[in-house]
Amino acid sequence: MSMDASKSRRDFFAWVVAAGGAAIGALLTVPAVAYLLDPVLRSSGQKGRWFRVADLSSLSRERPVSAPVIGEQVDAWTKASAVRLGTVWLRVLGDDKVTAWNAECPHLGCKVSFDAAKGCFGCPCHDSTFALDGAVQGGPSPRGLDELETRVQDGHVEVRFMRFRTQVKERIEIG
Amino acid sequence: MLTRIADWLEERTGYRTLVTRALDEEIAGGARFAYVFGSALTVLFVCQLITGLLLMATYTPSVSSAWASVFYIQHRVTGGWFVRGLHAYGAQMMIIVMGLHLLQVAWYGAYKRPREVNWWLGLALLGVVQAWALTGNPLPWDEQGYWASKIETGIMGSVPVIGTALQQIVVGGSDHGQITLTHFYVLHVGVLPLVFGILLFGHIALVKRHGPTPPHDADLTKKARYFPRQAALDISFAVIVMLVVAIWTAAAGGAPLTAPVDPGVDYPARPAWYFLFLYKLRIMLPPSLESFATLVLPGIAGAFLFALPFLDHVQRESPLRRLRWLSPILLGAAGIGGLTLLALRDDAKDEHYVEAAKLADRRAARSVELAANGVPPGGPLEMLAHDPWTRGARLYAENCASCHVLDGQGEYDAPVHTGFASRAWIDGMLHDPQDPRYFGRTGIDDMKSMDEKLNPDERKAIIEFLFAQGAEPGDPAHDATLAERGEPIFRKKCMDCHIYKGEGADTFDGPDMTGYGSLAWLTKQIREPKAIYGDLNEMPDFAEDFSETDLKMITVYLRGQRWAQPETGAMPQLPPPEKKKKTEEAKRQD
Repeated sequence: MSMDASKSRRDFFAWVVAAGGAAIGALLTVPAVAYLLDPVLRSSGQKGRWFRVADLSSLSRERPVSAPVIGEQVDAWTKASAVRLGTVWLRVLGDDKVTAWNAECPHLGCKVSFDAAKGCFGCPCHDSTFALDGAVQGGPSPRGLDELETRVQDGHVEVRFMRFRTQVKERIEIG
Repeated sequence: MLTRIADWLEERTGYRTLVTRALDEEIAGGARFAYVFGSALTVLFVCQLITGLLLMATYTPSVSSAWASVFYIQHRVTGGWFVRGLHAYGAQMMIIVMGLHLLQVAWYGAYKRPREVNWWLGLALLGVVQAWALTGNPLPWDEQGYWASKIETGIMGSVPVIGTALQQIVVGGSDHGQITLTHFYVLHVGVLPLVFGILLFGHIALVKRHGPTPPHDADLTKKARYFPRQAALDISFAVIVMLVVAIWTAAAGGAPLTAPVDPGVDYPARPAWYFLFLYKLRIMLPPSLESFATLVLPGIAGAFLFALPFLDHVQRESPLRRLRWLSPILLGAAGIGGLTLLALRDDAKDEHYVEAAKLADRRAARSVELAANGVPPGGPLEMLAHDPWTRGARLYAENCASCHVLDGQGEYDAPVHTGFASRAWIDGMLHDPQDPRYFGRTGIDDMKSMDEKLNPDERKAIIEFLFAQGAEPGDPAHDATLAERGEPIFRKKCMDCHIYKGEGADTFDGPDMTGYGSLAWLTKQIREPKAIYGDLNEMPDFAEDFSETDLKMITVYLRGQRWAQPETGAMPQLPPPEKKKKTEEAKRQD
């Protein structure tokens, strides 16, 4: 056997090893990456649904009132009919006009509460504070509380509930 | 630059030396195809680890959500069906390749000095893979996995002395439940991979120490290095194996998922195909010898394989001269193959099995259909309990099928329900109420054929009128004009005997046809049949038997028959006439 033939055979085997290794790698990697990217590829498809959250008569101009948002939730394979999806703060502005804010802090998503003594909203996690109109007063929050669309029907307050990305200045819906 | 980084790393880790040493390893007698099985198994093991970890990222080991989470992997997650298929069929491939590996090393006499310990490690790995499969199959908590594991743990319980305790520890109590699933899960994803990994490490280390076993007549002066020839053979075979697994997965559309398990539903349980031979053997033996198939024979086989290094220890002897030691293995392999094929063939010929398997397939398909709309927090059984086509059908089978027939299932003692209250059913009823498919087998004998009293137009109108009685909101529309035309005809021709909206039949005579076939009418028929059929009624009342939900399930299910038959044409030929005669003769004899 000549040196050349032996070398070319050696090269061929080396090529088989490389190609075979790549093929097995690809067979395992491609589905794995698709599987892992699933949450990115999937949209929740439940953006901005209307929920009845309170009676107009239970709200006031001076003091914001919090109300649970309860409705159908699809969580992976589970569909539940009455689940607490979030909390809103409600305040009457005038006649039939109600302002609603999502209670999630735009900083990192903790639940914002109302400090009656100081007359402002406050986040318990990193001490962001928000004025009665939702604007940032202090702390790390990048923007004011996220205002939600509202409407009043037969004395019931309805809110178009949605959530927004935290940590950014702009309001970006996330479903 | 890259070279410098590599040099830096080499100086600190010695990785290059390690790789070179592995690649340059000497193989006495040269590279051979016979040596490829071990590395293919290692590739399969890596495949199982990767796909298994991915599945763990979605799967939930809870009896109320395991099935739904596997449904989610199979039908929702991108590539989920493929990953799950690779895992399931990869496991089966592992068992196949392990069998081939065992046959190959046994043929070459790899159990002899100095490789005895590695032979035992290999046998231990075989045992772990089986336990791995047995604990993996029930994880979806579906019918197949649940029932098979119930039987397998039952067999475990029959082991003398320690069996009962062992079974209770594994099952986590005296019966299958949540702890059973959690136990299977932790065994499958924690204990067994760890044990397998340690054993595999030792197995590979000893292969490195002794090298593969050359054939008895190999020219040991011929030396070859692992790379590239053996490496190329190994990888080529591993690629083929992985391609077969991928094609198997794609062709089957992923691993099967049977219906969520409900212990009250019959299921024709079979073990996974690689244990079918034991099942078949058990069936072929008389019941008194059951433990021979389930325990004694596997025990003897294991003991024989373990003892082989002591029984056959002459170095470098031709396999043909070792046949007395190899023949039990070869016969065993042939027996396993033969019994497996026999079991598959006999099941395919067994009508009861085929029928039960078909029903199970239907339950599985229906469950998937329902789960597509979301599974309630209570789990898939809650979902099925509110599905008329599942719950209603089951209630029918348990309570009604002892007299009625629907879809060919049940007893021909009362009106047949296939197509019940459909236009065709009503038409046939008007033609001959005393037909055995209607009231011919009941005590209700006072209605006669309407053929002579109705002309074809009147008949069509009356049929539509009666069909419209059963309409509910959301139904496909019926012909309202035609039904309206039918009402006066019904009043004129039928209400001498029948009641409609509180009018007609002076004394109770024929049934009240108001809302005939509607949910309310069916509810009344089930709760107090006497109120509809009077003294001639023979049907027991089910006033106490059904909850409100169940009553709704069964009435909706029965009402579904309105559309089960083609809208025109006669009733299908259902009851075999011979059977009727026989029953009547039997009755007379009684």
